Amino acid sequence: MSCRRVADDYPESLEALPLWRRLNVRFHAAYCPACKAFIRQIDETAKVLGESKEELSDEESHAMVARLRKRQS
Amino acid sequence: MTISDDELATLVKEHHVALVRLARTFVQSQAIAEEVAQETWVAVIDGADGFEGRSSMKTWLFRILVNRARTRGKKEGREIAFDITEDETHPDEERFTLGFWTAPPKTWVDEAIDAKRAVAIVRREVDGLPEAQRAVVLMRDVEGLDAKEVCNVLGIEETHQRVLLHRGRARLRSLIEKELGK
Repeated sequence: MSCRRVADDYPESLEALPLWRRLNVRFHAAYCPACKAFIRQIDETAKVLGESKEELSDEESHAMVARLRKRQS
Repeated sequence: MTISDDELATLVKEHHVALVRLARTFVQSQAIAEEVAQETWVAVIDGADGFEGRSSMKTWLFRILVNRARTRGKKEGREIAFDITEDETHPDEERFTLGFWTAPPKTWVDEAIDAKRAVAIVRREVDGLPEAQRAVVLMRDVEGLDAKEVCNVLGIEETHQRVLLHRGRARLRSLIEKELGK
């Protein structure tokens, strides 16, 4: 298995892959430091995305609810 | 089911920013995206009785938004294709020779990323992803919907969802690497 294939095949989680491809990726990543780093960084990217979620403040959300209720009536 | 102001405020607080960002994928301006998000909330208030609990409240909410944003986008002549283009190159394409890394990923500081900087980078760069990738990344990774929920909201196949998510993450990984390497 090539590194390019690992970079293509490492999707949201290895569990989504058929067993043989999953084992191929794991085997390759076990001895290839570059792919190991790539996989770790893809996982880190997903984690950072989760931490990037933005929310309104309590004041902003209550003000919006007031506007929505007014708009509805 | 009647939705109380407090319940609505909790939903608005948690999801309004994401709804606007997702709507922006389908429509041409930020102002229209904001309008579509607000119309979605009004539809939620009016239609809370129609929520049957077969999907999560979050999935229901995002489905209403996507339907409205798509309709609005079509009126503007914008239609987002969720097809997979096979000719799209990998973001790291030039770093492989004969299928192997010739310029391997640079190690991020201490094997972990400078979290604040990375969050700032992804907040900025997600909106620059191709529309279909952006929609999937926003719902999966930022909002935490699972694969089935995203397929349900966007009406796409599981395989497409997975490829779009992976391509989006791979692009962002590459951008974080470039930025952190500066």
